[in-house]
Amino acid sequence: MKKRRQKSFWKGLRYAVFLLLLYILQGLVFSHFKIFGYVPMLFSTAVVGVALYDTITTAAAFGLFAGILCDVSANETAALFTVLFTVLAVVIKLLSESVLTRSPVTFCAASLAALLLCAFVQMFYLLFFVGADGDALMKTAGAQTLISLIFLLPIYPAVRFLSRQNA
Amino acid sequence: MRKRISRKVVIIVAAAVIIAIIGVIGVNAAHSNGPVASAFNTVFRPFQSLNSKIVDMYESLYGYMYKYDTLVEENETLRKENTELKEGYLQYEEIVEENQRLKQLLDFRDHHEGYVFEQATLLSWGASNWSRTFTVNLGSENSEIAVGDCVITEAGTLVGLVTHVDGNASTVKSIIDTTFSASVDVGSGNTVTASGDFSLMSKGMLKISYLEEGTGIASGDSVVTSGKGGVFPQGLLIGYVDGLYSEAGNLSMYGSVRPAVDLNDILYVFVITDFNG
Repeated sequence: MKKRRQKSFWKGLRYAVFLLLLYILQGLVFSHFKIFGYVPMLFSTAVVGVALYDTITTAAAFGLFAGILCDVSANETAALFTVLFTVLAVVIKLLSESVLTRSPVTFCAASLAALLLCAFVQMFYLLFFVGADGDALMKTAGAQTLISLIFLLPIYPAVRFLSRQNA
Repeated sequence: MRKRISRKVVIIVAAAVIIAIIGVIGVNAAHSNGPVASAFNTVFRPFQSLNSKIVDMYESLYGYMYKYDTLVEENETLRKENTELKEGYLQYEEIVEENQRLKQLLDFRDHHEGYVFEQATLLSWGASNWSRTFTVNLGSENSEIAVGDCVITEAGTLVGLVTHVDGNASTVKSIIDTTFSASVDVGSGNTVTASGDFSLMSKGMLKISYLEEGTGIASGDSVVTSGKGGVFPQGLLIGYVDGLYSEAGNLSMYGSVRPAVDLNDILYVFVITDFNG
């Protein structure tokens, strides 16, 4: 029992450090030093990775806290990502246990889908309620997605390492 | 026996006399130019010179060893003093800058009686590609800030509108955010709407819309708040008209407005928590 608690504690600590690192990169570093003028979305890729390779409870908790941090960094007050990432983590986990394989290709494809979903959710209000220019919105969605895909390379080994540590 | 003693005594006395004579000659040689003095100097000067060099070397070595510790200590003291002076100078520069900001604000306040200001520091910009918002260090627990308060620089330039208030921080929507909107006066007597535009937001600009031909608006015209609607006080400078373009269908025109201040450079702002209006 004690060993189990210790294991849970260290697991939580590892994921907390990972989340903090993602927050620092996305919320502080890349908000100032943009890549070709855009801020990459790192949290969604990390949520997909954790959901594929860890337990459903861990995935849901990771999605929840990742969403909170993403909302804080983007000054979103409607808890948009808090809900989105939690649901995304659970859905990816359920799919990985039935339909999806746990391979790097699946990780890349699921991350791409998650990035497109994030971009769509972010531009939804601007497109349908504010009447922003659709072309400009699509261009930003595409650029954000492409820039974020670069970070599949470092995030995949990180989530694999964390899941192996927690096994 | 007497002869031996006498002989020894004579020799000693003679040696003493000779040494005395040499001494006298040596003293006089320093102050005369005669042949004896010259001969004396020629013989004894190298020895004097060598002696002098030995003394110099000794003094130099002794001085080095003795002064080294003193110099190290003095260096350390000077370093500390230098660091303190540098810190003091930096503080002085900050105070001077703050003084200049407050002077400018005072000048602005003199022309706008009844305005209540609170100084805030910009903490961070939102990490988003879809909005331009920033966070300031004023909240409900440490100020009178409220949703809907406008945010300006010390020169009275409008930079944003408070949209969310927490305990110790608040979110401000900048003037180039897509959801920003304000009634403005452009040039001479033209009242139009200035609003954020997603396409222009990435270029750091906002838009004035529904301009009719013949209104006389031209590039370079200043854009200031009209005060209509009661959200913004009248007369806050937003920016200057950058260009004029035709809307799709050529029914009307719109203009791009460049903010009067570079939003990326602002660090200190002022929140108008109350004004007559």
